[in-house]
Amino acid sequence: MDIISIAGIAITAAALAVMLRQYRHEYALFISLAAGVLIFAMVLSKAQPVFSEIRNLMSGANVNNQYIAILIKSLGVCFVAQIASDSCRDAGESAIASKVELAGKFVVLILALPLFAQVADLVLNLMAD
Amino acid sequence: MNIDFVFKIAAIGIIVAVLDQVLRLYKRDEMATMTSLAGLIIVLIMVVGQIAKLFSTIKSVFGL
Repeated sequence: MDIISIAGIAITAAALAVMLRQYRHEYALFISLAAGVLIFAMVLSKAQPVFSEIRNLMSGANVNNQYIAILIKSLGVCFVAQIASDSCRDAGESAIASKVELAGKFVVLILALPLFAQVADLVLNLMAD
Repeated sequence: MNIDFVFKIAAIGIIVAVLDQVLRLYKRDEMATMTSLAGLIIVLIMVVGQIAKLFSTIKSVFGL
């Protein structure tokens, strides 16, 4: 992942998309989607050590491994929902984009629901004491 | 996957636009429609393959 090459890919894809939009505007959507997938894949290929480092730090701090898994999972759900909603909004379908965002919020909420239950248990225990 | 993929999509888009204009010039409107549809499907299949690859990478990185 080189920031110069990412900037080059982004600017080239934007120029191609702007050029193609006046002839065939459906290809502009595909170009922006392909460039987004390409840049995201470049970022993700370098992001693996970051996650293992976070896991190491958290296991050093005696945080339950399950919490970290939930945290990283919700981050992934957010990324996927963001990609889908951004490309829908680029295509001019902001209604579908907001529905995808809603679905992403609900999936993150469902992922975090066990944590809410544990917090509620903790509060009830404190109140019982 | 690299920047060639974006260039490929742009090239298909340009070719389809040119073919579309030429076919419309010679009053082959139905062939022009079919050409643009075929180009769209080709690009869609290419992009969907890459998106599937990205999503499997996301699944393995984030443990979904």
